Amino acid sequence: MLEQPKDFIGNILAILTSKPLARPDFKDIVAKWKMVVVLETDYYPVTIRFDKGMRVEHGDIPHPTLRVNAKLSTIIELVKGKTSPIRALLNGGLKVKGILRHPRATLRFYRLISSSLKR
Amino acid sequence: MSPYESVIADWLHRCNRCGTCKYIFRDYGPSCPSGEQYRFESYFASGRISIARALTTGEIDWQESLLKPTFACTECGACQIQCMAPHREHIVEMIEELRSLVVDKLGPLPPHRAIAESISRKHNPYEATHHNREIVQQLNLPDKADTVLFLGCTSNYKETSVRDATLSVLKKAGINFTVVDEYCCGSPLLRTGQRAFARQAAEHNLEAFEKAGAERVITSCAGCYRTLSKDYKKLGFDLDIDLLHSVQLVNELLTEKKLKVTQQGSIGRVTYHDPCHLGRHMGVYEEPRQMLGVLPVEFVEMHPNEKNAWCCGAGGGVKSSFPELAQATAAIRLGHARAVNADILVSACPFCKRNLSDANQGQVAKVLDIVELVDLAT
Amino acid sequence: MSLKQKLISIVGEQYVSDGLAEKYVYSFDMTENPPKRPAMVVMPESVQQLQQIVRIANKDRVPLVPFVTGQNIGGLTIPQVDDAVTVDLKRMNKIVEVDDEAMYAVVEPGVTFGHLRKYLDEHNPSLTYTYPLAPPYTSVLANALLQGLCDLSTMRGAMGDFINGLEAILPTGEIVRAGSAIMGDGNWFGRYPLPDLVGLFSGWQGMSGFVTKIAVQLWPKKQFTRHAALFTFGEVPTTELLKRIARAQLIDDADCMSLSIVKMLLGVSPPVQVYGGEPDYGTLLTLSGNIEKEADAKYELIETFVEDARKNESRQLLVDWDAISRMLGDQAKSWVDFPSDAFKVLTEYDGLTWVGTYIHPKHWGEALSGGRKIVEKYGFELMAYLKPMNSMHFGEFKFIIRFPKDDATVEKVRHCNEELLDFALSLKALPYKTPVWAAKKLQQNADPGFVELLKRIRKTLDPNGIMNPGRWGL
Repeated sequence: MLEQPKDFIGNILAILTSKPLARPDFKDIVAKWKMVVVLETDYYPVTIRFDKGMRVEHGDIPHPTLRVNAKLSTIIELVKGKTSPIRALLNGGLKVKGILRHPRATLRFYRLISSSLKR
Repeated sequence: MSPYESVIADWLHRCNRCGTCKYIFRDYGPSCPSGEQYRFESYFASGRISIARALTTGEIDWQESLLKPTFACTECGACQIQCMAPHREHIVEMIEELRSLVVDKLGPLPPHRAIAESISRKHNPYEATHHNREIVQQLNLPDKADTVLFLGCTSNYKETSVRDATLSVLKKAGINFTVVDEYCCGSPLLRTGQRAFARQAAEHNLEAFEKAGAERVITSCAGCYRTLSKDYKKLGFDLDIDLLHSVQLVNELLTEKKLKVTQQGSIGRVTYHDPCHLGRHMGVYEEPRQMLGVLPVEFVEMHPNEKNAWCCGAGGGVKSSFPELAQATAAIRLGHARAVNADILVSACPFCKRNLSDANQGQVAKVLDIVELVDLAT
Repeated sequence: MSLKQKLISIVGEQYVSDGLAEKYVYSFDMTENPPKRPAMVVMPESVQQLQQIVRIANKDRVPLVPFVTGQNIGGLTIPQVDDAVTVDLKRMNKIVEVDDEAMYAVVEPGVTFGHLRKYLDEHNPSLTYTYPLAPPYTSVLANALLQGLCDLSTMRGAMGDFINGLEAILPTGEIVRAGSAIMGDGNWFGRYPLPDLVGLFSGWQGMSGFVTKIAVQLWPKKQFTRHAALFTFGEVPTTELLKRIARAQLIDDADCMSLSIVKMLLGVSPPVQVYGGEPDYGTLLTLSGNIEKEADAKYELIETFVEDARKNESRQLLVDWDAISRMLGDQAKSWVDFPSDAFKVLTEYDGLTWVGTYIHPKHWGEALSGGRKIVEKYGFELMAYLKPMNSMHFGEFKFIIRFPKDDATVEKVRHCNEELLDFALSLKALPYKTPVWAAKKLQQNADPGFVELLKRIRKTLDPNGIMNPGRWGL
């Protein structure tokens, strides 16, 4: 489903998402998505492309469907379960641009992330 | 043109001799029979890969002294299980290609040449009179059947009790099968670098399967099973036939109660030796264990087992050319069986049975094939 | 009687070979150092057999090259002269003794880290030895004598410091002991108070005799061990933070490596590149305590050090192992699994090398940034590896290169390593597991009195110059 990214954060995302994407039903659902999410971090941005699967690339692109901003330390807090995506959104640790224009994409990305963070 | 591509060339600059192949990963027990016997670095997988590389790049020339390190290896594949380098899945292929190159330049080892000559003349490596069709007559088997039992030369000419037990079990289960005019599957040729002759054997056998209308082929020999399943494809033959080792079929028959256990009381304390051709090379580990779970035996695992199992010592042309290696390797395996106080050492390969029986000096009371155990108990 | 016949009469025909395969396989190691074939290979099983071999060699002036398990680097087992006999010691593989009370193990040359670990787990489960970033089947004895580093080095120093004593065969054939076991067996507790004759063998690369037994210190296994990962930016800030942590003696070990190596563990295929914004280094921290509170308190203190460092670089990040396990998946285990798994990233090609040095802490950061520029100039993957040593009395750094051994790449590796070494020597660093070419450069920079003393000791111990001649450039 996901070809191995070459960068560090891309690899972390690949490992985190590998669990839900290993489920055939969810994999089929994600395979139908067509959107681009840029994850901006305090380290560097990555571009996550959903188009017949998922691909993570190092770097930014203009005009993604969603632009998500979080420090790596926030991502780690999410991984550890010390905060949730909703709580991080509310306290500003996680910012998302494009929620109103692309609510469906937001919901999809949220679904992927929240199932990736499940223990 | 050879149907084989050069695996040595593909993986020329990979092995840095880290030595991980020499021992069982995280267990630290030995994994390489050849290396343990001869101890020089040249007798471990990494040594052979070095030799292959050096011959390819021209760093060394062809000399008789290369023969022993090249051929004194059972090709058990334990090195492939332990290795963590990128070429790990191709080590045995590299060794087989090295052997083929050495045979081209220096000729085969005399016992291996004799095997090839016997196969050419009598269609088996044992100089035995070819007689498959007699079994058809004796057992009144049909000319054609969906299921073909491929007897295998060791079972048909040496360990005939394995052949007879397999025939008996299939009969008891009511399987409609026949036996074809089979030739040696070619395994001894492929393992000893004599690839050219193996092709002829494959062609003959496939024609025989087709003539019999076979939809599936069953064999009790782990070596035949691997060769028919894997090597024929590498030789460029497209097999539209299901290939099964007898343990796969018999396990199903036992599970579905098409074979009923009739034996009362325990046959004994049994341990199972994973044949390299069946286990590491073909990935069949579960079925024989499930069978032993159903049979009236006290089953005990010896160590190392499954993918880390210690080789019986017979394969790769070793039994004919390096009897001291075959004997020493089998003795170690028998020691493993003794360490768990097994009375009966069971395998699923007539060649394993043969070598382990030859080396048995009372470590176990009996060495049997699993199909013999099934025949006894049903 | 020919030399071969004499050797056969000692060890048996099966364990002597002058076949092409053996001569070739024993002629090189994984590094770029030039190969040279021995005349033959002999494999003794006992001290007595080895002693007889040495006596014959001394009488007949035959050069001997010690060899153990085959995972060699630095060209250390490659003969430097013609007609040498390689002495493969892997059959001498007994664990002679483990003393639970004085916490040491006495082992023969062929005992590997894997085998010692297995033995201790089975027989002395409260004790542990240390493990290097090496394949599991490397020789405990060879690593100790070569003064390498391991997974307790941050706290306790180089493996040469763990030697309690040894037994050796001198080049003239006598068997001698150094350390407390001069008083007899079962008494290998230490080296002092005595003239420290272990130094006649430690670091000599087999030039002063064959060490046939070595006593190494073991340590009690602590009840609680914790791991954490530190991701950092910049050579100087990274080394400064590691110095602070190491000096506080909070950690058993710190394995600091270029992030590329972490990515290799994650399975990123070669060539592994560095991307802008990625942390420069990932450090595996190991700390332990007899009670959980002790380990927790150490971890908390490390957190405060990292918080301080974040004032200058907010991206410096300490991550506990729970999060690392989730972020790195199964490969997190590989990072902490010694001596088995971590070496796999170094098996990509048939070539593997490094210039490794021990260095004054004040030059550590500078050495790292300068070395990085050299490796980048040559276009190799960035694989720096560094470790605070002996509670920060000194630092270690090396630049590892994994490479296919084709002629052009080997030549490029040689140039890169030479430049790395020149730079390291300019900072007064000392190369370890030193190849001959590097030893020659070291001699040009070292106090001439030291080199003269080496030569004099060697002449005294080995008047006929049979033991590994040419090593150390002597």
